[in-house]
Amino acid sequence: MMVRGREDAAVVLANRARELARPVAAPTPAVPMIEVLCFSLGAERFGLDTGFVREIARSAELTRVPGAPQVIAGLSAVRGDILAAVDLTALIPVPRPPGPFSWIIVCGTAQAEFGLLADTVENVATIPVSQLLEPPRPGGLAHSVARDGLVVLDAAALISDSRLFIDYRTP
Amino acid sequence: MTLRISIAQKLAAAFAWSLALLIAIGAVAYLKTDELLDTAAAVTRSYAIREAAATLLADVVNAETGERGYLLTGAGAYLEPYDFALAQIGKDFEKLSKLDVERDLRAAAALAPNGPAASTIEVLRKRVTTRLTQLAETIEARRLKGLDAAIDLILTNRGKEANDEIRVAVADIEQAETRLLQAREAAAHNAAQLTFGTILYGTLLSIVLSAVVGYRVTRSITHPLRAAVAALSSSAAEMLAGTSQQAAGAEEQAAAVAQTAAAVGEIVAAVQHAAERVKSVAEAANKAVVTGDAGRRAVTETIGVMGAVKEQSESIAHSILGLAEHAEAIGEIIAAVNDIAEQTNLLALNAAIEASRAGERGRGFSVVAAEIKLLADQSKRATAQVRQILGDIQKATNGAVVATERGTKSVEEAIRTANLAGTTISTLADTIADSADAAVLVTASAGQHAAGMSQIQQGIESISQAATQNLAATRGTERAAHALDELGVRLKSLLVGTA
Repeated sequence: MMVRGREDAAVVLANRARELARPVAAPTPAVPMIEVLCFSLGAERFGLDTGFVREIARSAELTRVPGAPQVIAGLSAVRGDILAAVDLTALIPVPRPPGPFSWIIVCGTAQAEFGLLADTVENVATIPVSQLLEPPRPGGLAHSVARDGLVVLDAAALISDSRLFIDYRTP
Repeated sequence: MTLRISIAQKLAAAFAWSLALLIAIGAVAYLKTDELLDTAAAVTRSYAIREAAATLLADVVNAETGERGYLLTGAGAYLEPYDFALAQIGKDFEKLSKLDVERDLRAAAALAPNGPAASTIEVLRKRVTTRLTQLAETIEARRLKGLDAAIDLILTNRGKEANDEIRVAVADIEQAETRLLQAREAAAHNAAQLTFGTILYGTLLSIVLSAVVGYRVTRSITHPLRAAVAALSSSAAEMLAGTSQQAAGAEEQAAAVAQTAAAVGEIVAAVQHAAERVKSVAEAANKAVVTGDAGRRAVTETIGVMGAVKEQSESIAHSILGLAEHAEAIGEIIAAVNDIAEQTNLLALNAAIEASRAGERGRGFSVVAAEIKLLADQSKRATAQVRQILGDIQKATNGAVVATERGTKSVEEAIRTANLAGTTISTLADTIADSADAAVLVTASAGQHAAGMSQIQQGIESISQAATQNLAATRGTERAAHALDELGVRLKSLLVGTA
């Protein structure tokens, strides 16, 4: 929709306001759904439960940590917080040309735990649970697979994966 | 015999030699013949003397006879023989003395010096005179005294003694003459023998010597002569060959000179042609100069127009630059708007996440989030469209820039070409002016050339004449050489003899 001048803009905004002012309709009987944030790494598309996503930000330069496992690509600063940037391709083999990542997904529940590096961030999708399929290798980080090939990650497993944390206390 | 002696001298020598021999033989023959003639004359004289002596004796006898007849007859008629004889006796003595008997007697005495002394004519004369006297006495006696007196006289025998003496003298003379005759005959025989021998041997010798001398002289003459003739013949042949060559060469020369003269004539004609053409060239050059000026003016105009075009192009370029800057500014704004759209998208996502995290309470917010996403998408689409348009504008402006640049370049090139044309026309005009001047010079020098060429033509004509004359002279020499050759052949034939 092209912006064709002030009058048109005013018209559009007025329409939007009306839409917004409409009372919210009763929700339809709940079909079990999950809301996942769709992102991609290389050619693979992944989904992560939005409960575990705090925010999305553009990935700035990572500060590399010498001696760190490959999973931890470096350290990143998001809104003043220093987070570990996690490269999922070290855990899940994905065909991806080498290069920096564009996005960092800040994961965590109560607080920011780590940042997940991604190539693209698409949208927040709502998928009915009934449409999810079993992953090819159950028990890994993959929770399920959607019909369009989106791999829904097991967020809990991811959060609690010890590989993602550096314990600076242990000598 | 050296060749220093000339042929005339050699011939003279040979002939002199032959002549000498001939003269010698002739002299000998002449002398001997003279001798023989003398001898013959002497013999004749001897015979004449003998005859004269005999005649004398006969006359004495006739006188005596007459005397006897007169004595007998006493008739005067019978004295006729006596008178006659007297006269004759005188004549006989004249004859004898004329015949120079004395000489013969002396010669005979010389031949037989031991012989008896011969009687001389005088003795004979005396004795004859005595006898005549006796006869006269007798006759006188007869006449005067008569017969008896005469007979007495006769009987004295003085007549007989006188006759005997006379006979002796005459016999002496005859003997002498006979002796002389014999001697002369012998001498004549010897002389004749000598003459024969001389003539015979002399002739033989002279034949041989003449043959030898003649052969040698001939050889000494003919050998060098033959050699000279051969040399003459060969050199005549050489000369003939040389003159033939020379004649051929002279002919060639004459032909070449004629060709050259023709060529020079052509050159003269060509030079005249060239002079005319040069004049036309000068006229054409003048016209070309005028045209060149017009061309230069046209070029200047073109350059002016091109300059204006270039200015226009530059102003267009300026405008386009301004346009490009504006487009850049728009691009920056679009980038900013795009950033805003991105941020809005990010915001929408984050809002969606917050809404989702908020659960039930966040549902209203999720609408806001969705609207924000829509807005972001709209912005994105709008910016995409604007970017596309901007891209088109940029492409168009780029195209315009490129076209303008191309146009500017073309104009520059056109200006360059026009300048080049201008300089070329200037150079051409200068060259044409130069060539016009040169044409004038060429015309002048062509006139000089024509004069020079006519001189050359004259020179070549005179050369041609000389060549023709040379040819004629060479032909004459050739003929002379021919004649010389023939002369040599004739000489050779003379030497050798016609076969």
